[in-house]
Amino acid sequence: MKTDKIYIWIIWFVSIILLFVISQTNLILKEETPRVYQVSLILDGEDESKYANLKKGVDDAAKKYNIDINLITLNNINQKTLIESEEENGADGIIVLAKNDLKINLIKSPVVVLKSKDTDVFDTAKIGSANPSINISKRTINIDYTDMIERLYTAFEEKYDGSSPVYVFVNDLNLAGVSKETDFLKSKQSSNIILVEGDEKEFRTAIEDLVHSKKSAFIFSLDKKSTENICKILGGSSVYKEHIHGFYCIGATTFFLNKLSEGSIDAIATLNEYDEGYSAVEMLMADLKKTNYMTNIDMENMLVDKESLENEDIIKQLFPID
Amino acid sequence: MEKGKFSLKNLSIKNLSIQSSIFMYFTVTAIIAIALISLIIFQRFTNSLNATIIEENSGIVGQLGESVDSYLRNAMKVSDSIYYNVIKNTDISNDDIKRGMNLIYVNNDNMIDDIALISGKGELIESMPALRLKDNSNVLEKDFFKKSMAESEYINFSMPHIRDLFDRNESSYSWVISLSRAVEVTDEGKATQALLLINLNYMYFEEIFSNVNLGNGGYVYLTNDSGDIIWHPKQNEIYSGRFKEDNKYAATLKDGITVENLGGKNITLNVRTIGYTGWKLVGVTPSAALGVDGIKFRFFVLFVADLFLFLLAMINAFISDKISNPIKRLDGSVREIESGNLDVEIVPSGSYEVEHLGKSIKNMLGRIKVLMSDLVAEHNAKRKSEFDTLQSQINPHFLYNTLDIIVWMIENENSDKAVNIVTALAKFFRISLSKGKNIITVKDEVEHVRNYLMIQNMRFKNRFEYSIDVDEEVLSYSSLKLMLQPLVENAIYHGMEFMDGDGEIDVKVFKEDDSLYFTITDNGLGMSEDMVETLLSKDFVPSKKGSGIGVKNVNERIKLYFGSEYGLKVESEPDEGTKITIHLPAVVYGENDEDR
Repeated sequence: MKTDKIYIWIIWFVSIILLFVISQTNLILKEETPRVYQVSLILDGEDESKYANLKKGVDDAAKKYNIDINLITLNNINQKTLIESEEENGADGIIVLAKNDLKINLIKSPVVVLKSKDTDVFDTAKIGSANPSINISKRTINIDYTDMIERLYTAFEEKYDGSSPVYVFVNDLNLAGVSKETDFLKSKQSSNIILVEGDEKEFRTAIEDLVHSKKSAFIFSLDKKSTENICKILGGSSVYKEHIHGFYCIGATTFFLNKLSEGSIDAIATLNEYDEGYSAVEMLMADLKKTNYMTNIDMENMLVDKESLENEDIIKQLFPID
Repeated sequence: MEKGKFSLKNLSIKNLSIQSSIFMYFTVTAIIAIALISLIIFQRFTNSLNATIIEENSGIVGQLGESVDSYLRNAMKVSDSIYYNVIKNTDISNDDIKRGMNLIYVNNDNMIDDIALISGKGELIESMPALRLKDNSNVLEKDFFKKSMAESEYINFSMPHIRDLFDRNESSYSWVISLSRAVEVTDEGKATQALLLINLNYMYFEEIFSNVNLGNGGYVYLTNDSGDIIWHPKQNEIYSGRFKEDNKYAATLKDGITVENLGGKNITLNVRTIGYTGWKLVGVTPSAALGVDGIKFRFFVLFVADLFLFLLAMINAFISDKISNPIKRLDGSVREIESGNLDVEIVPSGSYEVEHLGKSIKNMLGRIKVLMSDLVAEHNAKRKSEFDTLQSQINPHFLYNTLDIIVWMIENENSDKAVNIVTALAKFFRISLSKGKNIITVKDEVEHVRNYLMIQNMRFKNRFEYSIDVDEEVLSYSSLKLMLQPLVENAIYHGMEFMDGDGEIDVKVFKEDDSLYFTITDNGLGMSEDMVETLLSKDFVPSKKGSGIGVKNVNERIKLYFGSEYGLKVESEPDEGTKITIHLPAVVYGENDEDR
C-alpha cells in the first residue's frame, strides 16, 4: 500500500511540473501570437481608384481579421499568372475580381473570386483530377450582371422614344458580365444597337459623329472605364450632352454618383461594393482558419437614380465613411 | 478488510484507516475553505475591478462628453463670431464680410470644411472657401434651411451627411455635420433674413473617438436624442447589417451608469447627454474580465491550484501520520495480543489519550497474564486433585485387605459378617465412584465413611470405636466426595495404631448458619504443631494401604471447589488426640452439583 502512495505522490508532483512547463514556457504549448495574414487583392484593371468602396470594405474587414492587403492592378499581365505568382510569393489567400477569360486551376492558397454569376472561372477539368491532398477552395461572390442590365434597361425603357439609336460603350468585352450585358441589349434592341468597343478616342469619335449627324442617342456604358471616358467627353462640352437623351451605367464610383446627382447620368446599376469587399475577406478568413465556412454569395443589385440619392440608406451604402 | 481487493464497500468511511480519515477530512475541509475564500476574494476582486473600470470609463466618457460639448460650443462661438462680428450690421456687398469670414475660416479650418452665407431666397451670398452652389440644388427645400429659418433663435446641428450642396471635387466626397442658423443681413440698407451655414468636419469625431479604449473591448458612440447614430466605430458594419447596436434603447436612458443584459451578455452603458444638442454619448463596456483569455493563463491557474493542493496534502499527510502512528503501533500490539502473543511489548506514546490508552492496555495485559497464570495453576491443581482422587477411587490395597477378611470370614463360616463386609465394600466402592461426580450429598459421603469405618473396624478387630452423628437436616446438602474417608483413614492409621480397643473416632456433621461442618475427632496419639503443618503442606500419605489421598489434598480440593474461605482446620495435641474440622458452605445438593 505504501508503494502505491509513493507512486501517487510522484505522479502528482510530475503533474505540477508539467503544468508549470505548459503555463510558463513554450516547450509544450506555444501560445498563438496574433498572426498577420498576407492577402492579395487582384483587380481586373489598371485603375484602383474605381474600386474605392470595394477597398474600404476589404480594409475594414482586414482590420478586424488582422490581414495585410496587397492591392494588385493588372498591368499587361493576365490574372491567372498573377494569381500563381502571388501564391508563390507566399500569399496566404487571394481575392480576385475575375475577368471573363480567367480560368483558375490547381491552387493551394484559398481564393475568393468576385465574378459574373453564370461564368465558371474554375478549370473543372484540371481540378477534377487534382491530387486529393491539395485543398482546393472554390469560393465565389457572384454578381448578376444580367439582372443589372435588366434593371438599367427598365429605367431606360421609361424614357426611350423607341427609335433613337442606342450606343453601347465597352472598354473590354472580357470584363466580367460585359458580354452578357451586350447580348441582352442586342436581344432587346437588335436594330438600334451600336456597339462601340475601345477607349476615349473611339468613344469621342462615336459621340462626335452623333453630334455631326445631328442625331440624339441613348447610351449604355457597361464598365467603369468606359463610363469615366464618356463622362469626361460629355463634361468637355455641353453640346455633347444635348445629343444624349439618356445615359445609363453599370458600376458606381463617387465620380459617377456625382454625375448622377448633377444629372449627367440618368441611372446607375450597381451593388454595395463595400459589402462585397467585406464579404470576400470574411469568406477567405473562414477558409484560412478552417472554421465557420461560408457558402458562395450572390450579391444584390440596386438601381440608383437621382431621387434615390436622397435615400439615407443608399447614401450610407454608396458613400461609406472613411 | 481484505487488502488488495477493490470494492465499493472498501470506500466507505467506516473502512478507512484513522490516518486516511484524518488526511481526507483535513484535506477536504482545507479545499473547501480555500475554495470559499478564493471565491469570495475573486468575487470581491472582480467587483472591485468592475467598479474601478466603470469609474474610469465614467471619467473617460465624461471627458469625451466635455470634449464634444466643447467642440460644439466652439462651433457655436464661431457662428456667433461670424454673425455678430462679421455679418451683422455690415452690408453684404461689403468686402469686410469676405475678409472676416476668411479670417475665421483660416483660424478654424481644422474643424470647419466651409462657411456659407445663403440668402432667404436660397442664393449664395458669400462662402469660404469660394464655392458654387450646385445647379440643381434646391436650397430652399433642404430641411436644415427650413428648420433654421423657422426656428430663428436656435442654432441647429444636422445629422452627418454628404456635403452635396456645393460643387466639389467630383471624385471624392466628405461627410460633414452642418451648423445652421438664421441671421439678419443688411442688403442695401435693408435688413433681411439669411442663413449662415457652417459645415463641420466630421472627421473630428473619428479623431477623438476612434482611439478611445474603455477596456475589455469597450467603445463609445454618439447618437442624437432619438438614438440615430452620429458616430460609431463600426457604423459601416452597422449599415451593412453586420453589427447590431442597441442605440435606440441607449438613447432612452438617463445620464449615468446602467448595467444591462443585451444579447445575453452583461454590458455596462455609460450615458452622457451633450448639453445644447441633446446628443447622447454612450460608452459601452462588456463586463469586466480579468483578461483570462489565453489557454496558458488557465493552465497557470491550474498549476497554482495544483501546487497549493500538493503542499496542503503533504502537510496533511505529515500531520495525520504523526497523529495516527502511535495508534497504529498500539493497534499492531493489540492484534498481536489477539493472536495469542501475550509477550508483545507495548510502548505507550502519542497524544495524551493515546498514551493513556497504551498504558491501560499494557496494565491490562499484565493482569491478564497473571490471571491466566493463576487460572492455569488452579486448573493444574484441580487436575492433579482429580487425578489423585481418581486414583484413589480404586485402591487395590484396601480392596485386597478387605477381600482377605471376607475370605477369612467365609472360611470361618462367618457368612453373616462376610455378607456385611461385602455389602459395605460394594457400597463403599459405589459411592467412591459416584458416576464420576466430585460433589455428592452429605448422606452419601457419610455412608461412604460409615462403610469404611465398618470395614476397617472389622479389619482392626474392633481396636477402636466409632460414632457418626449427622443432623438430619444436612443429609441433603452438598459435600465433596472422598473428604471424610481420607481423614478417618488418617485417624485410624496414625491415631489408632497403638490403641488397644479404647480408640475412639467420632464423626459429626452439623450446620451452623450458612456453613456446614464436619468434625473427625480421635483420641489417638495426636500431633505436634509441626506435624499438623506438615499434614496440610505436604502430600503426606500415612499409609500405602490407605486411599492414598492426603489431608492436604482434601484441603486443596475443598478450597478448589468451594473457595479459599473453606477447608480444613486441624487441632491436635500429642497424646491427646486430633480434631479435624471441615468447613463447607451449606448448599443443598442440586442438579448442577454434578458439574463440579
